[in-house]
Amino acid sequence: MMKRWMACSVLTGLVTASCGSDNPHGPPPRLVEPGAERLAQLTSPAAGTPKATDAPDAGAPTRVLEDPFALTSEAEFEAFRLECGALQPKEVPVLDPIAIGTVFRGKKPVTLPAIPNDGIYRWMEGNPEFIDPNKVAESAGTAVVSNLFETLLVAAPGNSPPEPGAAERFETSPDGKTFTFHLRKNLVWTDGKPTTAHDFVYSWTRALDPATGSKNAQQLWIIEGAKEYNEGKTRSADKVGVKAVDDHTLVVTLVGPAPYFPDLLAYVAFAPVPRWAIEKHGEQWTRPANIVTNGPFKLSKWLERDRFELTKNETYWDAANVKLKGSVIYVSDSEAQNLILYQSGQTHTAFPLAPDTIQNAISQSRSDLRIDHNACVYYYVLRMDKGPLKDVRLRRALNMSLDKKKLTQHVLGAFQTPATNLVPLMFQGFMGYAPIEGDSYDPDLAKQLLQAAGYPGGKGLPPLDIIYNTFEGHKRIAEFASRNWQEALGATVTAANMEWKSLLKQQLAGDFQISRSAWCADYPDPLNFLEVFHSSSENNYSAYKNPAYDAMLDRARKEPDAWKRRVILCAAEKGLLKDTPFVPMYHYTRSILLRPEVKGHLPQFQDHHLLKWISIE
Amino acid sequence: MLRFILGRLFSSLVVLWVLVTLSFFLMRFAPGGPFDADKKLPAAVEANKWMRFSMGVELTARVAGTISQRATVTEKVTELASGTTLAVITPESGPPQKITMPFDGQVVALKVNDGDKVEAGASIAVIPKPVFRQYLDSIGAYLTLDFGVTITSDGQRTVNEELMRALPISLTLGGFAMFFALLLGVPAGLIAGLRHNSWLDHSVMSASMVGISIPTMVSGPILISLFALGLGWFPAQKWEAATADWSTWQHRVLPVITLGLAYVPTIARLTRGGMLEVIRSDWIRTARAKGLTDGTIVRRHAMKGAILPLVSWLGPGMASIITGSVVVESLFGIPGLAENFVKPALNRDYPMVIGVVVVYAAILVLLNLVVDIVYTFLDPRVSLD
Repeated sequence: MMKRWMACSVLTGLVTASCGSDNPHGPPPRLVEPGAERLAQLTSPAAGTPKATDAPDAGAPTRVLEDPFALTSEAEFEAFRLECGALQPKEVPVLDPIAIGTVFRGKKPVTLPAIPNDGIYRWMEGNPEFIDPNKVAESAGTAVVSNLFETLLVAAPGNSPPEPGAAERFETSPDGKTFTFHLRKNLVWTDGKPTTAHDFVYSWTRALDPATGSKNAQQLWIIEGAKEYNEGKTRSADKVGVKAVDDHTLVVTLVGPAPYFPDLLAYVAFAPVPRWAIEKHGEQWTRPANIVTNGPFKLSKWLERDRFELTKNETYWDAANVKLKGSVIYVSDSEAQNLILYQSGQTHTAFPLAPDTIQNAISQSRSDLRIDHNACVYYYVLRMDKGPLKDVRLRRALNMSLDKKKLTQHVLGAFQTPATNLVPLMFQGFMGYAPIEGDSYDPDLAKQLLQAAGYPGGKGLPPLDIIYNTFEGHKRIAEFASRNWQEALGATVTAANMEWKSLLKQQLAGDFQISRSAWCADYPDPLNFLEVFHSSSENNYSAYKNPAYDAMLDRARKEPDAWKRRVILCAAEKGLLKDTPFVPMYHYTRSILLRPEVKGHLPQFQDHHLLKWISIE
Repeated sequence: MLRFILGRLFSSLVVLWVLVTLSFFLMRFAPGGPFDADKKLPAAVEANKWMRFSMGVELTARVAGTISQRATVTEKVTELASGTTLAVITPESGPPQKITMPFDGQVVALKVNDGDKVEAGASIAVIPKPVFRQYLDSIGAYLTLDFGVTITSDGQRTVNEELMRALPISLTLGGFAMFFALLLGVPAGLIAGLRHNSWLDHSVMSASMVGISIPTMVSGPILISLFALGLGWFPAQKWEAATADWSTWQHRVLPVITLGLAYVPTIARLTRGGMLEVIRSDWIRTARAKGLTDGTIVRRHAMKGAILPLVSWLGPGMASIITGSVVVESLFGIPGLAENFVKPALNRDYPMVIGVVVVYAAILVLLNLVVDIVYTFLDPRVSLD
C-alpha cells in the first residue's frame, strides 16, 4: 500500500500523471490547467512533451548495488541510473510549473469581503528587521527586498528556472566554473545613476567583507576566493572571483562547477547595492528617505513593525510589463492576525495559517485555499556517536516502526507527504532528480532489527529522549512519535520541550539522543540537502561521519556532467539512508488563502513570489 | 518634600544599576547566544558577527607562514584554559608564532588547519570576550542611557530609537485604556459601596467577578468578531500610529476597550472596598451627626478616603497596563512596546533586553513616586518628611 502510494505521490509532479481515487492520503490532487501559451509550448515538438520516463525500462537489466558509495565504472553508473530513476540530461521533463507545485485546491466558491480594486496588492509577512540586501537572510526580509532590488537573474513565476533580470544573457565556460554575464544597457537606479557591473562587484565584496558581518556571506562562498576573504584569511578583496570587465560585463569564477548557480543568483544576496548611498548614509541607507534601488518597485513607506508600502518603479527597464501599481505588506507575526486581515478584506492573501484554519478550509473545500509542495523536510536527528543509537539496527528499527502515513493524516492533516528519504520529492519535477525510497513502514521488520540489536521486544533498551523547541506543532509530533515507538517497539520514550536557543545549544553540544530538526532548500538542488550530513557540516547534529559519503559529495561538487552528477547524488542519498543517521518524518506543504482576482501567484518551492509577475484582475 | 523626592530618585538609580547588572549577567548565562540560528552559520561567519557586535577578540597572524599543531576543538563547546596553544605559525625564516588562548573559555571559530599557508595579518581565531569584560566595556554607556544598537536589527537601529518609537504607542494605548477603566470602574465601585448588599451591589460585583475571569485573549477576539468582522463598525487590525490625528480614532476603539475592560473589575472592587471602610468610620458618623446630606458627605468627605486603596494600586496598575498589553497588542497588530518584553529575551538580543528592563523599571519607580506624592494630598495623615 505504502509503496503504491509513494509511486503515486511522486507522479503528482507530472502533468501526465493521475493518481487513483484510492489515494489514502486524501482526495487526489487537483492539477491546475496550464494556460494556452504554456499548453502550446508543451505540445510543440521542439520543446519535447513530458514523458513518463521516471520509471526504469522494464526490459533493462536491474542490478542492486550493495554499496551505493562504490560507484566507479560506466556500467555501474548505468545500473545505478536505472535504479535511481535518474533521467538522461535530454530527458528532463518539461513540466508545467503550476502543476508541479499544487497538492490541493478547493472547489466551492466563497464570498469574500470587498477589497479596494486599485491595482495595489496587499499581503502580509513576518517582521523584516532590516532590508539591506547584503544582510537579509530570513524569509520575511527576502520577500520584501527581492521586489526592491534586482539580481542578474530573477526568480521566475512558479517553479520555472530563473529568468533574465539585470543580465540580458550569460555564458558558461566548458568546465562549468566561469560565468560571464552581459548586463542590459538601459539599467538605472531610482536616483537616475546607471546600474553597472561595478555595482555588483561592490555589493558582493561588501557582503563578504568580514566587517559587514553578513549572515548571507556563506551563500557567496561558492565564488573563488570568497571564503578566504570572508574568513579574514586574505585581507584584500582582489582575490575574490568577481570582476567587472567593463560597465556591462561581469565575470564570475566559481570554486567548482555548480549547475545550481543560476538559481542561487536569483537570491537577494546577489543583488547590487548603491555604493554612494551607503557611503553617505551608513547604516541608515535603507531608510525610505535614503534608499536607492534598482528593482521593479521602490520603497515609499516603512512603518516599523507595521507595514511596508511599495510603489511601481517607472524607470525600471521592464516597467511596461509590471502590472501592479504598488503593494502594501502588513507586518504580522501571528496566524490569527493573518486570518483576521484576510477576513476583514485588508489583504488579498493569508499566509501562514493555523493548522485548524487549514483543516477547516479543506473540509469546506474553499476555492480560495491552495496547498502547495514545499522543498522542506522535517526529521528527527539521531545522535549516533554514543549510547544505544550507535547501532544502525536500532536506528533503522526506529525509522521503520514510525507510521508516518498516520502522522501526516491524523496529526498534521494538510496533505504533507510522509517521508522515507531526505530530498523532497518535488525535485523530480524540475530537475529530474528521482526521489529515493528509503526504508518504508514495516513494524515487523523493525521488531526483528530490534531483536538483532539485542533488545528483543524492547527489553533492555535504555529509555530514549526526544527534545524539541516549545511549539504546539512539534509537541503533537513528539507525542505521536513517542507513543508510536512505545507501542511498536516497547521502547520507553520521553519527549521534552525546551526553549529555542537552549535546544540549539544542546544540539550543538551533541547532548541529546533524538532531536527535532528540519531543512529547507536554499536553492533547488539535492546537494543542498545532502550536504547537511557531510562530516564538515555545521548542521550535522547526528555526528554522522562517513568518509565514503563525504567523498561522494565532494565528487558531485566537481562533476561537470549533469546526469552523472545526479546519479552520484542519488547514490549518496541511498547510502545515507542505509546508515539512517536521522528519521525522516514528512515533506512540507504550504497552505495559503488567496483571492481569486490575484493572478500570477504560482506555487514556488521556496515560496518566492515576485510582485513583478503578480496582477489583479 | 523635595528632599524626599531627591532621595527617592537617588535610590532609584541604585535600583536601576542593580537591575541592569543582574539582567546583563542573567542574559549571558542563559544558554545559546544571539547568533545561534535554525540553520547554523559557519563558524567563520558567526565569528564576524561576534566581532561586529564587539563581543569577540580576534587572534591574528603576525607573520606569514605555515600552520601546525592546530588544537582539536569543537567550536563553542570545548572549554580551553588560558595559554592553551591553538596553532603555531612557522615562517620561512625567523621564530615561529604561537597562537594561544588569552583567557579561559571557548573559541567561536578556529579558522585554520594544519598545513595551511597564512599571510601576515590573517585572522586565525575568534574568542568570545569574557563576560565580565563585556560588562565593564558597556556599563559606562548604559549609565548614560546609551544602550547601543539592537542585534536583531543587525545594528541598523539603536535600542533608544526602537524604545522611542514603541513607547508612545503603548503609552497612548495604556493611558486611554486606564481612563476608560476608571470611567467605568470608579462609579460602579462607589455605587456598590454606598448601596452595600443591595441588588445594585450584587450585580456590580457579579459582573466584575465575570469580568475578572475573562482574559483579554478571550474578550479581544469576541469584540473583533462582533464589532469588526460582524458589524463592521471598527477596523479589526492595526493602530495607524503614524497618523496622529482624529482620522484614526476608529482604530483605537477596540484595543482600548479590550485592554480597559480587563482592569474595570479590579478598580470597581478596590473602590467599593475603600468606600465600605470609610463609610463606617467615626468621622463620617460625625459628619452625619452634624446633619450634612448624604450627597455632601460622599462628595466632600467619603470620596477622598474611598479612593485611597485605588490610588496606591494606580502606580503598579498603570505600569502593568502600559507594559502588560502583550496580548492586546498582538491581537490587534499594534507595534507597541509589549513585544519587546518577550522577543529580545528569546532572541538573546542583549542590548535590547537591558533597554527594556530600564524602561520598565523607570516607569514603575516614577509611578510609585507620583503615587506617594498624590497620597500626601489625599490623606493628611501621610507626610513625606
